[in-house]
Amino acid sequence: MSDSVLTGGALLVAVVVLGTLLGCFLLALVLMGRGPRAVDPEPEPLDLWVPPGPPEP
Amino acid sequence: MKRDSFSSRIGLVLAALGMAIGTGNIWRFPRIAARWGGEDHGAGAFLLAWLLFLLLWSVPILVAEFTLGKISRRGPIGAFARVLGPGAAWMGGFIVLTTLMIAAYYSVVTGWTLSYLAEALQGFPGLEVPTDAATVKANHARALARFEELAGSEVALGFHLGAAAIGLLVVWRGVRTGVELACKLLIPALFLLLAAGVVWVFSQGVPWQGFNFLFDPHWQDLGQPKLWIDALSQSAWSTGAGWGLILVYGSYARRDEDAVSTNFTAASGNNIASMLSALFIFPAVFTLLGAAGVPYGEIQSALEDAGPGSTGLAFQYVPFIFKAVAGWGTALTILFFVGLFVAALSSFIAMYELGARTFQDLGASRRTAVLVTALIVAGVGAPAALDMDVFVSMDWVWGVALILCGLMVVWAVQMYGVDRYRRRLINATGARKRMGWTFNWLFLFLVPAQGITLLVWYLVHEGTGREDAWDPFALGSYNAGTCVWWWGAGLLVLMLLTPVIGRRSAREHAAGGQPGQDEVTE
Repeated sequence: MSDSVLTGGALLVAVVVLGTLLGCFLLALVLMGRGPRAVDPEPEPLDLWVPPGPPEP
Repeated sequence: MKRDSFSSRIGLVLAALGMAIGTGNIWRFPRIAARWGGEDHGAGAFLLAWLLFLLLWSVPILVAEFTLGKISRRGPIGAFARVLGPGAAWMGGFIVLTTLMIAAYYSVVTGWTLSYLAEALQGFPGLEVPTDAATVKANHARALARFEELAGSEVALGFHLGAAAIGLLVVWRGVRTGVELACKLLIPALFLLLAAGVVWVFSQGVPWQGFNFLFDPHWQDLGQPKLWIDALSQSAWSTGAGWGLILVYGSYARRDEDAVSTNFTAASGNNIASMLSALFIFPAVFTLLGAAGVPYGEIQSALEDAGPGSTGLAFQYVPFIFKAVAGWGTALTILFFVGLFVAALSSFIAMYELGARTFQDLGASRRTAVLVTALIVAGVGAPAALDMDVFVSMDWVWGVALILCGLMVVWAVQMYGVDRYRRRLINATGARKRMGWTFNWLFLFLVPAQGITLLVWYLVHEGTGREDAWDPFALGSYNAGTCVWWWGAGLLVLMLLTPVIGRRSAREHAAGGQPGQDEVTE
């Protein structure tokens, strides 16, 4: 194992792995920073199961 | 309905990062990567497979889980009940059971890190400066003996209870002023500590050998099934996918919060923390042990040694290797153990919050829910603190159960309808980044195939082929019997309880919030 220079394969993997991780992280942060998409003013109700009856005290 | 929530998007992201980043990033990731390094190559092939599974397993499950919590405003039991009907509560119940069992022995682990941090502050008396291979060997033996003295002792029990008390104090304060505030302090501090370690490494000269050992690929390894199993396991366990933790944090997020970008940030940030850890540890170990005259093959063995309690080199080498650094040795050792404790705590409080949310969904007040969680963590963790065989079995049984938990999330999405889930629950709730059709293919085929492969591998390949393979009481060994029997018992109880817990968790409870700290969110 070379202790004086980075091998070509190591450089390739380092760029791919670190580049992808940093790219995903920063892109996701930017997208989050832009806030949510404009919400539909009349959204369809979500299909969730709701128990019958009033809330428990 | 009034309930606690995150105060801001950055608070949510830091909490999600805290949930994902744990001790596994610092002591497991470098160890598993080192397994794929050799005399003439590094672990590059493993890194590529590990990166792939971030996208094929971790992110899709995290997005689906977060959405379950966000749209249901419930913990796992209530989320499954509201999305699939009360008859599915046992599935969420199994996720809660698994994560609370992990929280119990993770409290022991957090206690160990606290104990080592206390020793680091005193400079680890009894360990010498590693000047040559003989002193390295002697130090290693002493460090191992020190861990054996701690693990399974009353001292470990004391630190476990101390860790459980710290978790209680944080979660007691609520989501915004407890969990979120803690993560706002802990996570930036952790990244700074890891970055400081990497900066120190570079200050010693560019560590080509350590970098090559980490990145240089041996392409033939991509043909080995074990490499893919290692990569998938690391991605599955490290990112928190399937644990129910991001589901609970999702339940405190705004309803229009973006599930995709939030979870991409958490998962990729988690892997960046793993890489920082490896970029600190690999070069440091090669430089310091190499300077002491330890042969290359032995350094490699040290890096991939599972160590006691699967803690890698954290407790058997780190306590003494930095002593060789003149002037900065003690500071670097303290830096490492502070980082380890911070990583442990940030995940631990997420597990605690899952328990608190679950019991609140069942109708308990916030304070009662946190106290019940604390009692479970302290009580179930105590035997693991006092007996390493119990610890090993709990780690094995509930660690593998996480794959089953991930599959339950997949199952929930499939039962709801994969395309319907994507369009109506993920994309139609204000997300800026929408999930495309690849989500359907992932949840119909790829994610379940990965989960089933992992489950079969661990149960059949690792868990059988020994005399006690099906013995449910064979503590201290990785056997299929403990998994199947322990899970079976848990599932049976949960299925019997489902008619009650399903309805109660889905119902609105007036007592579900926390007086004085609530926030109107809907």
